[in-house]
Amino acid sequence: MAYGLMFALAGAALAAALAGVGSILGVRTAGQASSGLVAEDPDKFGKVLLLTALPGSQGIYGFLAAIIIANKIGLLGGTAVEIDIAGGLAVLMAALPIAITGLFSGMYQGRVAAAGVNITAKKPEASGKAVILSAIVETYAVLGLLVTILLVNGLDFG
Amino acid sequence: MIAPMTKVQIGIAAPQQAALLSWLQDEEVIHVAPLTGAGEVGDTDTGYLVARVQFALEFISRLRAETGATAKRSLKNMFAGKPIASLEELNATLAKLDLDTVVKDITTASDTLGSVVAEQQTIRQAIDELAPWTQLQITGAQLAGTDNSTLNLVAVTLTQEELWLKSLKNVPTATWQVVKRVVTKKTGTIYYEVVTSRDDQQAILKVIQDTNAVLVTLPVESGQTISERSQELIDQLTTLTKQYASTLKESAHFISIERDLKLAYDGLLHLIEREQTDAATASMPLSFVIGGWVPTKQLKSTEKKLAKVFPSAAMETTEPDKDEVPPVAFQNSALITPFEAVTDIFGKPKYDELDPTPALSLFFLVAFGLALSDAGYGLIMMAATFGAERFFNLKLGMRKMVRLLFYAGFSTVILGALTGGWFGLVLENLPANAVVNTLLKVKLIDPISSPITLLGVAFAIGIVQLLFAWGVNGYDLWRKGKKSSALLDAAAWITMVISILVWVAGGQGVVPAAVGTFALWFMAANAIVLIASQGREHKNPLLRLGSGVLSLYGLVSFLSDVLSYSRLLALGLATGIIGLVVNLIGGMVTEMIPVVGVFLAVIVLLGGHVFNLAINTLGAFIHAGRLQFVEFFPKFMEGGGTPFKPLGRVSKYVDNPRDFG
Repeated sequence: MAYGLMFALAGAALAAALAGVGSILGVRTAGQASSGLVAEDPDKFGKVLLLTALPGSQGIYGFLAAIIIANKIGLLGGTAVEIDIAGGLAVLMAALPIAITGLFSGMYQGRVAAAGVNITAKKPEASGKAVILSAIVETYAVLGLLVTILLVNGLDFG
Repeated sequence: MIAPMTKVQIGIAAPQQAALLSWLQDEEVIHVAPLTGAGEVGDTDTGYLVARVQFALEFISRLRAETGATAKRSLKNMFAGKPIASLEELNATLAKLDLDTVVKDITTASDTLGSVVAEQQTIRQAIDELAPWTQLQITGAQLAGTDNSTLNLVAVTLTQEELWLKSLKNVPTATWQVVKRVVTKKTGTIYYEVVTSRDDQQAILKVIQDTNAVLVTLPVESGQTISERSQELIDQLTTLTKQYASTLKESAHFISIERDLKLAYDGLLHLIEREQTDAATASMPLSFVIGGWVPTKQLKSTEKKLAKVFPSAAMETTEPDKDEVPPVAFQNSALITPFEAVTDIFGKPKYDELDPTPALSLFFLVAFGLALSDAGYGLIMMAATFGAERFFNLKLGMRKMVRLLFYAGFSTVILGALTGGWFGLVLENLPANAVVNTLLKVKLIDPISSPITLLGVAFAIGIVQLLFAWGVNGYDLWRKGKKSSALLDAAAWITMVISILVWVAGGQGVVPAAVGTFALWFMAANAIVLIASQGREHKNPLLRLGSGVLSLYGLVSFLSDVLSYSRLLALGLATGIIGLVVNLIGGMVTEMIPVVGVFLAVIVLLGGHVFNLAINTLGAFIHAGRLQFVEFFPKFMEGGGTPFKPLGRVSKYVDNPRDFG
């Protein structure tokens, strides 16, 4: 019984941690590129701040998934539900989509955002396009989050 | 819609060339198109002068920083900090100001300050050099040694000290003392005075070399001691600091002409713009002709104004060259104009394409509202944007965006109320009263308990918008006279998708089975029409059939486009759940910490909801926009038109009064 809870917690932890790491790496990459531009032209800070913050959303999605899981297994207020091993593993599996898509989309969105900083440097008026290009990578983290929410929502622990 | 453009040429007598260009620049109506046989314009000195004024302005802002004279900015002008001036004022300033002299004076002041700073630097270095030795009461003459003995000042590193002392002991006549030790934990320098007979000087130099020590020579006059020299330098430094302050004070009056210089700078930028325009025009000995595009709507009024200001000028419309493409500007009603900000992120459509702005406006709002889906946040957005428009001086571009966010806030209120989102509160758990009961009555779907229903809604929005996109495409083709294309490439796809949907609905028992069966037959017939028609550009019948069949793959891409709308559900849930978590933490803080807990909870709630509002507004805007650019636009437009960029105001330091409308 305790193992069930353990697996469920592992799911929540993976969702928050892996998606968070994705965001860390993504924001780092974009942030480094942004610093380079700001060193040359501090006025563009507002524009590149947006690009730098974009890969940060995966971490929020992972956090969100972890909260949903914690809520599902009754850790947030109320009594914890009893979960058998199969149930715990089910929660773990349900957490994987956002964990994995969050990790990779965060990393790679950071690279697209860093390239977008280039657009902001050369053609400031086109920086909106850089934001959109970068957001296309995020789509798959959004879908991953959606799958995780739907799967967790579908589980029933009575 | 896309503003129709008319090509015109304006001719005027040569002496009035400059005045005409200046007037056109102020009116901002003509997008200059180079004339064939246009004259060449050589390099002018304006660019160089601009660089010098820029330098002067940078010096003044340095003066400002060092004298603490910061510019003040009123709250109302928070977003409009630059001085506002008409082109006339800019030109008047240019004429009034003796730029060359002013810039020269400022450069001189800057040079004076620069040389003082450089001198200070040199003296500081000398003082640092003397510092370790000031305890030695010897004069410059003694430093030189006597006929028989030498005096060496040597700096030895800590790591080499052992070797240094050992080697020194091997020099028979050497005597030494430590003048000063500057040592931290691991590194350090020890300053030695070494006296030896002249015969052993070579041996000393050898030791210095072996231990990587430094033989120091001090810049001290023969009659003066080291500490006297040091004091002398310190006195010089004080004088220089005073000199720096007084020069700064003398230069302070330049701050008062900063505004004029800024105006002059922008005036020069406009001059450069006009000089570049010259290259695209035709100057003849007695006359001057400029050609370009004018929005047809402004043609009459421009003609009238021109005739009034320049009675001798002639303006006539001309036929564009065959492969010449007009520039693209939008021309929409006041209600639609704010949505141009969305289209502009993507770029302009081609001149002969449709303006997607009216078509996307409603879908953008619905997508945004569903992605944010919190009526409370919507109200905040509406209040904030309304206040911004009311209380701040905003430029036209920014006002567009603010108005767009106001509409988006309104949409969020509606969709948030329908999904029961109010600051992440769970309405069902609130104490029942009239307000809560009303809110509950308005709420149609609970996203957290029945996400699948909301997913269905998101897909439905997607299907409607994508069918609409084909509709727009059909209208565009029909309008251009490609009627068969409109029927086969647009209408046929719409009926195909609708018949599939009806057939599926029949299977689910939503519509009578007979209707479903009819839809199935219709679908089959429709598919045959598509297979027969979609390969019609190929001559080879096999190839034609093959590409017809392949075209049905379009249904798969339609499906994947629809699935993309599921992001609306995910983003909506994200707002709701983060809001929920913020409230939860606020509640926990209140319960767990006595007395101050309530105040902490206020901070948590404020900070948390502001954060949630900020990131999710950003997400909602980006993703609602993306659905337009990636899913909606490609069905009926390509984009890549040249934006209408009239000869007009350019600004770096000065704003155009007309920008504030």
